Amino acid sequence: MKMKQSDYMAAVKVIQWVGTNSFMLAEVPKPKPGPGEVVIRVRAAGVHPIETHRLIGADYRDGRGVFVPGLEAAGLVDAVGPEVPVFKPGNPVFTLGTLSGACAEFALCDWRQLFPLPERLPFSSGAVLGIPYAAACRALFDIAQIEPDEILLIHGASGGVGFAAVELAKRRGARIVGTAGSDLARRLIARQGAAGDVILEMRPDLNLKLDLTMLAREGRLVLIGGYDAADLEGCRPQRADAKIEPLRTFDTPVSEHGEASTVAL
Amino acid sequence: MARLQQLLYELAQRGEIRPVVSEKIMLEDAISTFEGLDGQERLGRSVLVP
Repeated sequence: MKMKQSDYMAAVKVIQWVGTNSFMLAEVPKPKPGPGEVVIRVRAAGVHPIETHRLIGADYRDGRGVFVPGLEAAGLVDAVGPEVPVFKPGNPVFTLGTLSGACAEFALCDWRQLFPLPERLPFSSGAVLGIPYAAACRALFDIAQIEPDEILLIHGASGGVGFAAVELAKRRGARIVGTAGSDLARRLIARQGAAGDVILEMRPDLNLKLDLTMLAREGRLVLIGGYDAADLEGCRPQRADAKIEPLRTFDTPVSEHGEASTVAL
Repeated sequence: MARLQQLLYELAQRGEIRPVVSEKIMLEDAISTFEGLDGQERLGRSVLVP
């Protein structure tokens, strides 16, 4: 069947991935919602560094040869499929993930990936609410189980996840030390002999060795981004009772964003 | 709604958390943004779709 002009939309399209970037702005078919699915009219899409890890080394082309980047968005509900218990066309929403890619005029979502957009937030802010804050919650509360008055060191406090962690840890009553841009602050802290109960690390490739010397008794080091257990082989904290946990932000299902976070918040 | 997102919604609704957007990019300019991704964390960047 020939598609009408309105059956297409503009999208950032990945046409191949063979170790080099290859993106283009293209007309691609507009998604249609099936059972349990919702199409949103995207007003803003978030850009995250984890997109890099998601793309490298994998063939993400679907059956139509289309892959649209973008993990989260904010916009208005456009069309609702059957078996969706909430949401109507026109509802402002933000997403935690999409099925079809966020960097497009329309995005297909599982209805469980959608949440009402807070009235105070513009679409541009709603597009960076879901993943950074969920990642910070998971790192702080589900993995590190940070307690009030513990010392939290955030390497990369000026990034999206780091900034979210500062806000959330402050509410929790943690004492926060953050670094941004350079490792000067970290080196000053290390020189003073300070130790972190919890360290959130955005750049283990740069900081991991020193992090291992800075963990307090029963300290928890959370590595955020595209790192996994294989990257940690041979890495041991100086204190035997300290722990290292990687957090892969993009492959954690919504259902695993967890109980500890809801209690802590 | 997942409980965590409900809480984040409520915190944002009350202004207790405020996601910061440091850079707004138009959809037609997003190509260079994606090409420039280097895996490093940056404060919020939003691609605006007109």
